[in-house]
Amino acid sequence: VDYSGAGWIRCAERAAFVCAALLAFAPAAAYAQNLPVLRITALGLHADQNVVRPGQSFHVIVHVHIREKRDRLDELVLPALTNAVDLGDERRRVPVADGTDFYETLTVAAQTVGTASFSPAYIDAIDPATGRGMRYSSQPLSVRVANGSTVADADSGALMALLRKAALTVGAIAVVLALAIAGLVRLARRPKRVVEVPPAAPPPPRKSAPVLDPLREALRVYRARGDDDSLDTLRNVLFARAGAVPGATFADALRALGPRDPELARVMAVAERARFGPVHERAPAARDLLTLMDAYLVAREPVA
Amino acid sequence: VSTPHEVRDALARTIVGQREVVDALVMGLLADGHVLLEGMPGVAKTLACRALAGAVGGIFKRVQFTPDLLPSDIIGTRVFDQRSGEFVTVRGPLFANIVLADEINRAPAKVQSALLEGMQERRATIGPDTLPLPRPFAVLATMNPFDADGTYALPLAQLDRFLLNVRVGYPSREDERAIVDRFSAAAAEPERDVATLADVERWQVDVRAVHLNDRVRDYAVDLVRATRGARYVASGASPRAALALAILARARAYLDGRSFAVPDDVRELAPGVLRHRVAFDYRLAIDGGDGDTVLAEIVASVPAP
Repeated sequence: VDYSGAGWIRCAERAAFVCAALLAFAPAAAYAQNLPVLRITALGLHADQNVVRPGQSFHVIVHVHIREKRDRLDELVLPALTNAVDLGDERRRVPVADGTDFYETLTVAAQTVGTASFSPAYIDAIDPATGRGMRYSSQPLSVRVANGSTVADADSGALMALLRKAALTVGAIAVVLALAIAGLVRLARRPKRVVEVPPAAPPPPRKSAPVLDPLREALRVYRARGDDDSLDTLRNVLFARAGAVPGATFADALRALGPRDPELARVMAVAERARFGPVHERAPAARDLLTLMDAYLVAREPVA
Repeated sequence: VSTPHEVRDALARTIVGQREVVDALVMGLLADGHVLLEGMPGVAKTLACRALAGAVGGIFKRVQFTPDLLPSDIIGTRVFDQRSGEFVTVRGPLFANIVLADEINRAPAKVQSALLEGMQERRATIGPDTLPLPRPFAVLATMNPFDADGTYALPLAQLDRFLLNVRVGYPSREDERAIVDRFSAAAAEPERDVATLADVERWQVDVRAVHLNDRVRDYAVDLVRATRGARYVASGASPRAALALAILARARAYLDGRSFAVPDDVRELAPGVLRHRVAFDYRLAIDGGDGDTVLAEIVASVPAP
């Protein structure tokens, strides 16, 4: 045990570090504990009026039923109001046999003609069945705000609105059907696609044969052995002939070759198929490669 | 019956230039994976995603990631139905064929992990219900790597779930002129329903049947292994990167009309597959280097078959 001054300092430093770590993790732990574990079985939102006049006050009631016995439900987030003003609210708790009911009654007044909207009320809680955090939400609510001297007038207005809505729905269906028919007719009249075949590349001018010996030699070995190693050697010789550096790939060789020698490009492409193609394609590709290579070399024989 | 080329061409007609981005999006779809697009604002990242979704039909949802987003805003929630007196599950925007997660790094880790869990598991749990996500399903996420204020960096483990990370650069002068000509008069309107969802599912099956030669497979594995312990690399790519390289090489071959993958497929795709899976150490920043250059050196150090 080190009772020297330096030992005490080290001890104090460690204690400070532990305290700092605890303080750093405390908010995260607190956040995780913020969500209550609740079995929520009902979360309703309704109004005591369907249609109101501007300025008329009415009640919007949020009802929550939970299975737990609780005194408070501070986690309930009340709906946001649109085209209505909040005049006050009252929360009531009713203990029942299978848990607790909470009623939040908002007294509100509609503002202008149109619709007074209420966003869903919600509670974020941990579902005990799954142990996961979850948002439980009510449905949104809308109350019509109409200009009628009586609510009966407003109700007749509601009927008209319903009829208007029905007419709009029928109209929309008709438009969709018309569009679908128009689309089908257009499809039937669509001209068939013409496949454009690119013009064949002109044959390269006949030149005096360059040095082809490495190519002939690689081809001879490949013809004799027909294995992957000899094919790799042949590919490398072809790539080098295209102007690529050692270790190049097919794409490098094509880039180095450019438009100079399309036949060499074709031979290289067939070599790729013979090397990397599926089993059933490799043998035919190998035969094609030999044929193409022979033709390629013959075309480049020195003229006698 | 449509082909992936038709989708690619439709995208190319909507997006001026950015051929690599278009190809990457189509390959990601063919490989049944998710794609992360990184680039400055205004380089058509979102438009490219919208164009892809429009071209293949299906349900498209866009979520703008913000710091106040909650997991339930993505996955869904339980809403009380007053008529039946029961909670019903309301599915969130994750239940779509193509989900655009715009500025994914602007939402906190809880939201990111909820999304990434859905991407990996292809299902989401809302309360007591575990629901499968629609097929095909792809998340296309965008990220602005330069404006780091108020962002939450995605951990490597979560980035690993993206098959491909595409850097979207500025267009060339020619392309920028074409963009001004085309879109200053009318808004960009992506082509719709070039292919169907059934077509996409068929392509995805076909891609899995593309031949991957042993040497090409080994090349993909060697490339991934070369990232581990390389200079400037703090942690290398996981085996999931080799898997991603293999499936994307198949997709590239399929898009190119080949029945087999070649080493070029692997080599061309390697930067996009490795970029977000490799963590670079502090010495890279001190020496003034950048990750893509290091990756290019690693790729060049592995001989292609």
